[in-house]
Parts: sequence; C-alpha cells; structure tokens
Amino acid sequence: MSKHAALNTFGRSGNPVIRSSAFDSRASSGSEKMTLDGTVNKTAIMLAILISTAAISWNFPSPFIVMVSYIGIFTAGIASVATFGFWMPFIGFIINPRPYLAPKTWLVFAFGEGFFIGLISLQFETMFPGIVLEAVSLTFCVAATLLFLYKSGIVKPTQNFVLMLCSAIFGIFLFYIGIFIYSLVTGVSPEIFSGNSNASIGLSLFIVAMAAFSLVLDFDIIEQSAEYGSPKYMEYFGAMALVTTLIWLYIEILRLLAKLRSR
Amino acid sequence: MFSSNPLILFLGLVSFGIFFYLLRIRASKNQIESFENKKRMNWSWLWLRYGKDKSKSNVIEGEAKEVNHEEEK
Repeated sequence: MSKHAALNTFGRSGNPVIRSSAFDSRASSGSEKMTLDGTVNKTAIMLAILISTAAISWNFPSPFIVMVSYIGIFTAGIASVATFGFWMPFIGFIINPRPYLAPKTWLVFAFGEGFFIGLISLQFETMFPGIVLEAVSLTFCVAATLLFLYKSGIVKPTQNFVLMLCSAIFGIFLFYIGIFIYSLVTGVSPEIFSGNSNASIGLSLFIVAMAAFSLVLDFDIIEQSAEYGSPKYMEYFGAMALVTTLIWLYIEILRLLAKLRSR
Repeated sequence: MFSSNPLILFLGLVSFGIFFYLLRIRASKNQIESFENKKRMNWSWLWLRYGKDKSKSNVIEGEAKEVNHEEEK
C-alpha cells in the first residue's frame, strides 16, 4: 500500500478551516504587510524627531523646557506601557502588549524621549565635555556589531536566551526601583550605582551588555515580522522597540563613560 | 561638545552608516531558516494574540468545495 494511500483515496481536505492559514504565523491576506524598508524609515524618522527635541531641551534649559521635558517623559512612559505592556510578577499586575497602538504612540514616544535625552545629555556634558558624542558613537558601534552578528546568523535568539535575558533585565529593573526608593529615603545615591569603584564599573558593564543583547531581540522581532508578513503596524512597533533599546544602551554607556572619566 | 576622541567619533560615523545599511537588508539564509527551529524564539504571538482584529473569528469565511474524484480523474 502506498505511503500516501489515505491522501490518494480521500484527497486533501475541503474544509476551509483546516486548509486555511488561520493558524499559520503569517498575517491573513488582504491586509497591508510590514516591510523591512518601512521599519528602517520609521526608525530614522523617530531618531530624527528624538534628536530635534533633544536639541531643544539641550539649547534652552529654561524652567519651562524642564517642565515640558517632565511632561514629555511622563507621556512617553504611558505610551510605551500602552504599547509594550507591563508585567509585574508576584503581585499579578499585567498590562497586555498592544502592538496595534504603535502607529498612534510612536510620535508621542519620540517627542517625550527626546526631551528626556536632551536634559540628561546636557547634565553629563557639563560635567565631562565631549562625553555625549563619544557615547552616541559607541552606541552605534555596539548596535552595528550586534546587527552584523544577528544578520549573519552567528547570534540566534533561542527561547533559553530570551528567558535568561528577560530574567536579567527584570533583575536590573528591580535594582533600579531599589535604588530609587533608597535615594528617596536617604537623599543620596548609593556608591554601587553612581560611584566609580570597580564594582560600580563592573555593574555598569553588565547592564551595558544586557542592553546590547536586548538589541538582538528587537532585530529578531523586526526580521520575523517582515518574514512572516505581519500587519503594517508591526513596522511602528519594531521601530519603537529598537529606539527604546538604543536609548537605554546610550544612557548606560553615558553612565559608564562618566564613571571611567571620574576616576 | 566636539572635544571627544576623534577615532571614536569616526568609528561612530562609520557604524551609523553600517547600522542603517544592515537594517535594510534581509538576514542571512542561515538565520531565516532557523525561524523554523523548535527551540528558536517565535514572536508571531505579538500580532496573532494581541493583534488588531482579535474580536473577529479566526475562521476565514470560504467556500467549502466538495472534492470530486471522478472529475479529477
């Protein structure tokens, strides 16, 4: 009996549910698909807006601009939580990710983050002249290296890789919350966070490494979304995720360089 | 502001160009083929589970054709 006797006898199913691509990873036909080019363009637009607003808060550090910056940071925070979601284990607090909101939140996010980056960069530049351009350069060096490693297939994010990375990022998040509470209570920042000891620099290096590895996840989301023909809004989502991680990486590199220079 | 190390600035400029060039091109065959690997992270839940049209049913309204073997032969 032939190996495909059943198939030969009964033929392929005529049931549209079984035949359809409803359970496939690919988006249903008819809707506009995401492309790599679209994501790159949106990333470039986001970075351009971010740099423009950063330039405003950098050049006009008046109390009004500082207030606008705080509002911008708050709005960007809400936009990112609404789009990426939020998950707090132990207390069961969950906000589901809503990628389809990205076309509405990406500009708000870029404007808000721009003001924030401008203010932070100005503070560091005042203390250590020339540090900002070095941090920007190193951020793109790291990003380009990891992108090459990803595109060439040397780095492949497996489920274990993502699990370990997410655990580390969650640990860093808890650490930052702890530092924030400690600073509120005592009025000073702990040595391990803002000092220039070896332990503090080592910790900064670890956080920079985690931020850099997070870029691999963003590249993977963008590549898979484009490959599977996901809906158009994933272009905005991918760009937002990438810019968020680039900002995190930039701030951590800025802090690391400041620690090294203050020694 | 421009008192940084010129070598780092040059590297940054080159990396910026490389970054946007690489971002635009498709990943290697090795990477694309690994998407089918079971241990590989699959991000399709982002748009399948939390997508825009989840209020609609996954069942696509289609025409159920009856397969007629006599005609096929």
